[in-house]
Amino acid sequence: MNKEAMFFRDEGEMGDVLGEAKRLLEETKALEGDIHSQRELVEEYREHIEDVRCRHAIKELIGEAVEDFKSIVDGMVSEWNTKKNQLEKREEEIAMHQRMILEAEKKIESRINEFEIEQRERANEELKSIAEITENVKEQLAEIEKTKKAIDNILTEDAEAIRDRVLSKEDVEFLRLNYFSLVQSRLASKGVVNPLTGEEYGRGDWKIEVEQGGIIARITRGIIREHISVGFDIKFIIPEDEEGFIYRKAGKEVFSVIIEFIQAGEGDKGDKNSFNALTLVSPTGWSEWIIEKVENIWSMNKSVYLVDLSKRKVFFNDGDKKTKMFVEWFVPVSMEEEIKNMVAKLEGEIEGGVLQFRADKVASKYQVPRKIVVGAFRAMVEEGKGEIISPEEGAKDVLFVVR
Amino acid sequence: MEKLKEKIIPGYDYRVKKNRLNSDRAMRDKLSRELKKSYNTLKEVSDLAYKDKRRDVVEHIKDVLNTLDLFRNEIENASYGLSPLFKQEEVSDDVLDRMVEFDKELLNELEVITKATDLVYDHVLKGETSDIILQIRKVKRSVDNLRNTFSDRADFLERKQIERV
Repeated sequence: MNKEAMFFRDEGEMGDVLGEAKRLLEETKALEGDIHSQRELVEEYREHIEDVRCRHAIKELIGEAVEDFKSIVDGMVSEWNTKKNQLEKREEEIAMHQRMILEAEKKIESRINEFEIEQRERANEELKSIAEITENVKEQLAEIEKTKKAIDNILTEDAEAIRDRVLSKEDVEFLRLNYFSLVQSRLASKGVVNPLTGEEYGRGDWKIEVEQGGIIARITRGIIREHISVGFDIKFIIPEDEEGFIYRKAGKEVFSVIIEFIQAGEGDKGDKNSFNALTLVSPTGWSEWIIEKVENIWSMNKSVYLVDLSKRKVFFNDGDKKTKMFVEWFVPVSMEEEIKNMVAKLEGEIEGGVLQFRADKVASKYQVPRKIVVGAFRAMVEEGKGEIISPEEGAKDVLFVVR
Repeated sequence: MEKLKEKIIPGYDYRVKKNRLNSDRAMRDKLSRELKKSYNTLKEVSDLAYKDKRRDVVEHIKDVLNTLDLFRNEIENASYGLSPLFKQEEVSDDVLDRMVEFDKELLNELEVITKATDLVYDHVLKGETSDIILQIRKVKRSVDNLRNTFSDRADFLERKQIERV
């Protein structure tokens, strides 16, 4: 029995399968193309949507940011305005301060000008005073120069001259004794006239007291009440150095003595006719200061004398007649005369056979200052009677050797 | 080139020497697989015809299947690795263009065959089989054309002189 075909039933034609296949493939390709294009479109649209969303998000973000920024800017603006106002106020304050400072500066400038003027005036005054001081200094420098010259002179002097200026205690004692002897001999040899009353007194009227430091000579009158008519007060002043050397000139230390003498007996009616003389004797001389004082002392009934035994001079008020009249009582023997006397004594010894003399021994023997002896030696050398051997040549003291 | 790439495999590229041999291999694998699909489809139709005792149809399909077998053997066993195309570093763009045209032509024709065999099977299932022998012969003719194109491609590859740049 024939079975009926299950698949190959021949119910129709296949048609052109290859053509159909080509068509289907083309359709498929076309569809794929469409799909592809659609996908592209979708992709584009998606991208577009993404883009829009992004833009929207960005806008929102920007919007927020803008809002934030606006609020920040607003804050900054308000802060700026506040700061600006503060700065304007500060500026006004500064301007005010500047005005105040300018005023203060003007005041200070005027004060400075005044101060400068004052300073200039002060400076001028100071310059004047400096000029005066300069003058004083110049004067003092001149004085110093003089002193320096004196010192130089002293330094240039030989050792013997320096030795002559420095007196030993023995020299001073010899000078005192010689001078006192001289004054005593004068008192013993002549009388005196009271310059105030004109009363005359003989040489025997003197009452003389000799002490270590001086001589007091008085002429008195009256029996019941004794008054001094003429009185000489002679004081020997020794200006001894702390080290014991005697070379300084006496000066201010005796001024109190002079004042005391001048003031003594003032107001006493009976003493108005009493003439008193104060004589101060210095073996080394007197300072210019005390000489000037003494030369200007004037008293009705008193006279003051300064005797310089080193230069054999007397200083007194030359303008006072009575003082001048009595100076002859106190004038010391001159150096030349004393040396002459010494030479005569030495010549006497030479005639007696003595051939050499030592200065210190001669001074001791004749109680004269050593420099008188040395002066006599020199005088004899000048006369050609001998020669001097100095201590530098080996002698113990200055020797005079007879030729 | 891009479309071919989509149809074949990634890496299809004749421009670089090291990729040329792989590209050819990929192309041949693609041909073989697609032809196998058509072979299977037509084998199914042949089985159905056999069941319906349509020996004439079976004979015609068998003829196509034999052709497909032979063709697949030619494709898979072809050895022209010594082709100058795969040895030379630099090959002119015209040569490469020709290779791509060959492959494009082969793939288009292959798609048609595959689709046509599917349609044949669909029509068989629908019972529309009155002109099946004619259509099988057309498919056979199409496979022959494809085989000729492949032979031309092989001839092109085996040419001793490949135009240099």
